[in-house]
Amino acid sequence: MRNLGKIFKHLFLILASVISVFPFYWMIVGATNESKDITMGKLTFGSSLVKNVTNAMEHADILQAFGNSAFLAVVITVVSLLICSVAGYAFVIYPSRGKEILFMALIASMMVPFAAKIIPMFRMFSKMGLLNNYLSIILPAVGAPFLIFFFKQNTHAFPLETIEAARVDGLSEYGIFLRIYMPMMKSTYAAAGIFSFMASWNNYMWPLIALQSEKKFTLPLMVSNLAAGFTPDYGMVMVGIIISTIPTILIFFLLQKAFVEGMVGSVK
Amino acid sequence: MKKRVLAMALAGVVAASGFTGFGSVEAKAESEEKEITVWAWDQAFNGYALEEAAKLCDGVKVNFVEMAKADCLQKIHTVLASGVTDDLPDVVLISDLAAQGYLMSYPDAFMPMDDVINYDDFAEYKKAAVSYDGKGYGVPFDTGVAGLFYRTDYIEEIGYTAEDMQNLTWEEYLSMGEKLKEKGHMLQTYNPNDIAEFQIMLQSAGKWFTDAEGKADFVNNDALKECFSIFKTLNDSDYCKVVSDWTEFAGAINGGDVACVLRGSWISSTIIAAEDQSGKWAVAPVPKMSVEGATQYSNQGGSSWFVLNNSANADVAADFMAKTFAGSKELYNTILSEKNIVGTYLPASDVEAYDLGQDFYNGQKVNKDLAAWLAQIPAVDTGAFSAEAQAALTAVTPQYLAGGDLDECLEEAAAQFEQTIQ
Amino acid sequence: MKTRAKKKYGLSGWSMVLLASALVLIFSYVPMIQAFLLSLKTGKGANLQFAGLANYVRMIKDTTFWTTMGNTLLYAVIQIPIMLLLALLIAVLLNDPKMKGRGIYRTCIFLPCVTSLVSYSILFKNLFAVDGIVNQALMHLHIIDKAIPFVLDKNWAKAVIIVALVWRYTGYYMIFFLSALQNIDKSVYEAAKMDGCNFFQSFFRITLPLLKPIVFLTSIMALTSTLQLFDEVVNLTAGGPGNATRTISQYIYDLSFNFVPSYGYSAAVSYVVLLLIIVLTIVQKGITGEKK
Repeated sequence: MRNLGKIFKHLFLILASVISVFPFYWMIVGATNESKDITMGKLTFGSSLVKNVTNAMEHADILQAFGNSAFLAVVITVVSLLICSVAGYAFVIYPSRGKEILFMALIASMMVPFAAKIIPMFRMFSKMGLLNNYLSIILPAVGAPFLIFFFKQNTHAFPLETIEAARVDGLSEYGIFLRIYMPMMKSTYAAAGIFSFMASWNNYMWPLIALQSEKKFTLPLMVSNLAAGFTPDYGMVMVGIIISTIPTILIFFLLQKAFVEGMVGSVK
Repeated sequence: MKKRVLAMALAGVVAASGFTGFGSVEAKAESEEKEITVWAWDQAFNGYALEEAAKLCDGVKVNFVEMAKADCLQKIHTVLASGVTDDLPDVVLISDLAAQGYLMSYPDAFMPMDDVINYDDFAEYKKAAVSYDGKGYGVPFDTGVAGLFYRTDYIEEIGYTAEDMQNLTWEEYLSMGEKLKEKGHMLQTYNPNDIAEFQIMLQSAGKWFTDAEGKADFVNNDALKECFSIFKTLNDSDYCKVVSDWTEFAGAINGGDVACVLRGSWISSTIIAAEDQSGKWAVAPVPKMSVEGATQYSNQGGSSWFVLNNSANADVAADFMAKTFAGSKELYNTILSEKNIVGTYLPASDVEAYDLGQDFYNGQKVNKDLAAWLAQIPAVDTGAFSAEAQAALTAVTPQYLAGGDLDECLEEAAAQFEQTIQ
Repeated sequence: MKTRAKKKYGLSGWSMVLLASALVLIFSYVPMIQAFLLSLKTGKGANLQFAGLANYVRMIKDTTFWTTMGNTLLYAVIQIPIMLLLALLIAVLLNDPKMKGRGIYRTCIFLPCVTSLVSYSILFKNLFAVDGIVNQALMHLHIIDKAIPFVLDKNWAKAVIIVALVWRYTGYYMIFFLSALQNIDKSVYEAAKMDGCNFFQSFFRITLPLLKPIVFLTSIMALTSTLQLFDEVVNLTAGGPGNATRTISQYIYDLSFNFVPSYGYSAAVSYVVLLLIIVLTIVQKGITGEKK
């Protein structure tokens, strides 16, 4: 009976994994095939990888775009994790009526369809003289309501007695956050790191509008250009897509250990 | 403690490395050379043409910013709607069907070009597409002169010759379907969700989705009704390869599934991607509809250059356009012979590149034929609301295909269209 | 003494939320307010006049608005529960430290949300084509005897979109649950086991109540993203057949950037979407009982 349950669980997970991996496998296969084989749905490896890579590199300055995206993603992830976690923490630890209303307002802002905000945002950053400047990408991205929300919800699981104990020990309020909360909530930070990195790395619509010079374009913009012609070379497109996928997977690998490790040293 | 130091150091490095790279003004080298910035799509097509144009114009450097087509059009909307006048591109590319909408939406944003270029040098229908309120704004560029691209080997199997293909009516064209099917080929692709072929059919009869006032011309439009009836025939047939998007469409062509492709001349670059089919393709004029005024010449797609009034180098850009796209036979000869880009500049219609036979098309002088048809395309006023009209018609198409009454469907679409354009 | 301490803490509390809140308020609320003012104007492109609530009235008779709104809500109602339940189930299974190969499973199931939309839309269309693998398999197994035109039929096309969404985002939401599960003290489970609780009992009595904040979070996140659904539909069906799969976000985009732009109307439709999400959030808050 026990074993049967176990087998059933594994069967289910294997099925889910295969279904999940298949399109990814197909993407890698695509990078080795000719464009017309891809459109005809060929599922086996081909011999055009080198050609596709060369074409992709020649078509656009992918390395430059990769560097731009990586820079933005790192800055945004680090800064947003810091300021959003401390805010999410404070919403739970120092509750007040005013903060509750403020929190609701923050959450509401992520519910407005982005298309409605584009033109006012463009005008705003133009007035600030920040168009074509990375600050126009970073500033709206680091105050991320969904991260504040995420930290707030996870802070509910944080044991309050730990805070009382720390206060007795004479730690300042910021000290408690930095020395106790941050290390203990490692798994939450790891998951938030993945979310924040992905959001920044895949950000498309706003960088497209805010950045003007090709030298500053991010990777998703470049990859989209690869697929834009009358006759897209899908082999080349697949190469671009894979290059733009690798960092997210790396980040996931780096952080996944941390987010399954559990809360560190619960109650002292 | 250690960690905090590390974090501070990291923040410092980020700040230092970051802020040097910020700043919106890039240092420009002091020189005589003027730079114009162009927003457009498709490096291999539009980017290439710009590059060739820049070679002809000393002292002007072209900064081509490539974006996907939808992105490019969206970005132009955003910039113009925001009323911002800094950081504007000097030139933008706009597809012809969208051009009227931009001219109507943003008065004074585009530079009038009547005094800069001679509009009589361009195909009539192009001039209409880039003019608004009696003034010319755009510099006409490429054409989407339509052709019936077909597989010579497949039609031979059913006993047709190149000559038979020259003067087809739609009825005759569709009758090839069954015969091809018997030989294991499909007539053409069919996408029930895409009525782009209507553009070709309507214009070939000198009609459009909308009338001269920009009102829906659905219910009493016989040409449009014929389009729908042809569409239903394709839908009910078993000799079409059903596709749902561009990738499948291109796959059906390159994979040898279909015998015919009806599209603007730009489809050539997709067709010739299948090198193994070289020598097996030819082009004929489009099939003729049965309505009054029907011809075998039409257009699909094409776009034009627009100079922005408030850009930093608007004058340089206008001058550049006058010297190149509105004044150089040489440019059109080059882009035609190298990339099969067919322009709409009439003085260039006798350049030598037209006389080159193309191996892929079994020696046919494709460009010469296309240019000859180009001159005979009926000019139609496509107005500003083509996208709205097509959206409204697409919405009722499933209903019609499922057996609904065409008049009722068209009335419903007309109501929806009115709703969208208010 | 106590009030003074409270005041002191209160100050720390406000200073902690200050930076993030200020950024959101400036960079989100200023454009939002401008968009609202825009929603009170009518006209094409830059030629705008103040017209009060005319845009909101216009929506009542706009068939495309209602169709796309209906489609979007249908996606939300079907997709979100299926996806969140699946994500939670997988997360709970993978949270078992004795489960072999859980690292591999976790990675595999995460992969879809990083797989590019462009590539997976080509593949999905190949799979669900009339002569595609899915049809061939179903016919081979004698489940159906005639191929199903998946993306060309108005109901099947919606189903394909929902399948694609579930496939793509289950792994993403799994991470929310996995990371939250880490914050549950393992000793609670051991105590439950001592009391003779089986897997399901401990799931419903311990896991679910403790995960309530995250269930609330994920349902709001999923609701927000599904009601703003755009890319998947554009890539998979382009909204067709007819308007059968078109979403409200596609309509908002079309109104601004594809048609001759009606920025005011587009903004008004956006505000109705915002209102709808807020109402549904309040409802959800009631359901998940997130009340303090």
